[in-house]
Amino acid sequence: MKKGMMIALTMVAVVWVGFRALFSFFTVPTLIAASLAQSVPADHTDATNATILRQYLPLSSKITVMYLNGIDGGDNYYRTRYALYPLHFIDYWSWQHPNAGGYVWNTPRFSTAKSLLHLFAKDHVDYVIAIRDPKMLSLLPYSHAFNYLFRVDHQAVNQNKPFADTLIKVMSWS
Amino acid sequence: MVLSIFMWIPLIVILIATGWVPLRRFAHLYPLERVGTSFVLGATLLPFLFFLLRSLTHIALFGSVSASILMIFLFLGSILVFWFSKNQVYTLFVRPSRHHAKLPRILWWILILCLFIFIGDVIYGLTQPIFGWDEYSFWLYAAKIITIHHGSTTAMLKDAYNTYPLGFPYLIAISYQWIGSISVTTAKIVSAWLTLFMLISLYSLLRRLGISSLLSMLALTITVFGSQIFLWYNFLAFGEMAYVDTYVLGVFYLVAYLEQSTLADLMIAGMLLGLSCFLRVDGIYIAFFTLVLALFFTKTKVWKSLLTKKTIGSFVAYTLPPILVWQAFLQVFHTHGWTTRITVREITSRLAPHFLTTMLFAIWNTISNVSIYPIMIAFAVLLLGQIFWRRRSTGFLTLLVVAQISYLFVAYLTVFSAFEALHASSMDRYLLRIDPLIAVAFILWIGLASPRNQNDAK
Repeated sequence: MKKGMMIALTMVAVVWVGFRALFSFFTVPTLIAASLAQSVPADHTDATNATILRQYLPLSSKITVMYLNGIDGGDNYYRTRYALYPLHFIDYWSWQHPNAGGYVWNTPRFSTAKSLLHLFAKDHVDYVIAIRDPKMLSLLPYSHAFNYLFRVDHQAVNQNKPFADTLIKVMSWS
Repeated sequence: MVLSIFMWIPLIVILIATGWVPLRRFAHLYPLERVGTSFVLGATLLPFLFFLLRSLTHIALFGSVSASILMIFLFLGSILVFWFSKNQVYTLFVRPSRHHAKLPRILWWILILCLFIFIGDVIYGLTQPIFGWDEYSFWLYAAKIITIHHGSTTAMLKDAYNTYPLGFPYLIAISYQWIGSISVTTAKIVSAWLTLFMLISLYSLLRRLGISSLLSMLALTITVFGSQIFLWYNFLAFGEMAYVDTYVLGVFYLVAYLEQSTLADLMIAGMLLGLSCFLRVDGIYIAFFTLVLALFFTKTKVWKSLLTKKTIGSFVAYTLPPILVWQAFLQVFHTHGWTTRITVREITSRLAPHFLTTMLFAIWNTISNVSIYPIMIAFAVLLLGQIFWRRRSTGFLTLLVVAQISYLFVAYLTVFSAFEALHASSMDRYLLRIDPLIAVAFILWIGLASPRNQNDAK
């Protein structure tokens, strides 16, 4: 009796597990969509930002994004990078440039329009996301608002045009 | 919510079965202890085996078809494991033995209350936002990349955190595959499961060591409520609790080995400490000084049994594979592990009195904050108590806590940036691993102070 019950229970479990496993057919797009929808349940600001950005950014690993946000030294950067994976976000912080707990944007490479332009060219930046950083936005052509998404015009960058002309404004939100 | 809890059950069965296999030959374990330790062991062993398999074969473990087939085989395999260990499984349901005497009614109420607090805390935690950026910068990010890249071991190599062991991200990735979505909520529950099973194992282990059910329960209570952040870290999707649960359980088996001189406990401790190196970037250093300290406290007459080919061979076979595999991985891909980036000159400059005093004050401010760490009162009592009555196991645990704090001091001095060192950044998190050690040392100190036990004392 005991043996029979165990076999029956095992069979039920196997059928259930098999059924469950069949429904775990994942594809990359569904995983990404699911992660964006579910990953940030209570972090509304970042979820909102990521959801809005997703409408304007092609979700491809070939797209390179520079995320400019100096307020928290990286918190929002990592949250947005996580939500928008597989977009390629340029690392502004690494073990080679330790800056834990500090204000990364004080480093010279982010302090002038010229150095930013150099970064756009060097890292083949396609888009710039600028969020809540008055100092950074003062370098960019739209300094009066908080959140912006810019597309980089690489033709203009290559022609050494003024900094403002190399950025094509896509949208703003706040 | 209810459905998702049921969905976890087969995965929990798989994880317990994975840990059950290496523990099968150890007959001295209590039934509940076996289940708890199997889960904690399996929760790192399975990710480690996945990592090893993927590194050697390049099979897309988390591909759309392979993941389903793999999960079915793992579940079937788990049932076979339990089938072949029927006798050990039956002991879970047999009438409680002398050692598992019936709990007094009041203890049942305390247990139920504690369980409610624990479950309530986890449910509350699931609705809370993620606190820091570490989850998104590494733990969740790595798990997501591993899932999307079908279990790839090299997908994280381009990242700044490429030297971090992938044990916990792999465990989350396995959970994602099983539960069916990449979600923070899924990742958050993993730590809570681990802590729950660690506590079950701890209770049963203390009973095996001859501690009463009341004191064993008290040890769990002090562990959980001894630090304000212990429960909090259980819903942060952070790798810290997985490490804490695995490491402290390894230390508790060292305590069992020191108490009962059972080599089997030393082997289990070796397994857990070895696997803890696959969970934390500096796990290898901590495991090393923990083992050395335990051997230092080993009875002289036990040393002879340790220095045999068979014992050394078994210990190496149980402990080293995760360490060697991970170190080999780092070498093959030219990543340099967790070493200092600070020059000798910089370190020397930190020896200046002003720097040292600021750093020591920052460390002291964290440790001495009794409102956050009420457990430090127990530690102070324990330190004083050692003057009057010492025992190998409590002496080992007390010295290990001191060694952990000293290790953190040295780490701040030589590895962390000046900003982090001066503020003793993340010290509260690093102290999580000493919280259960103090609780158990305190309880052992009280529980083993009976005349019968004192005869066995050092």
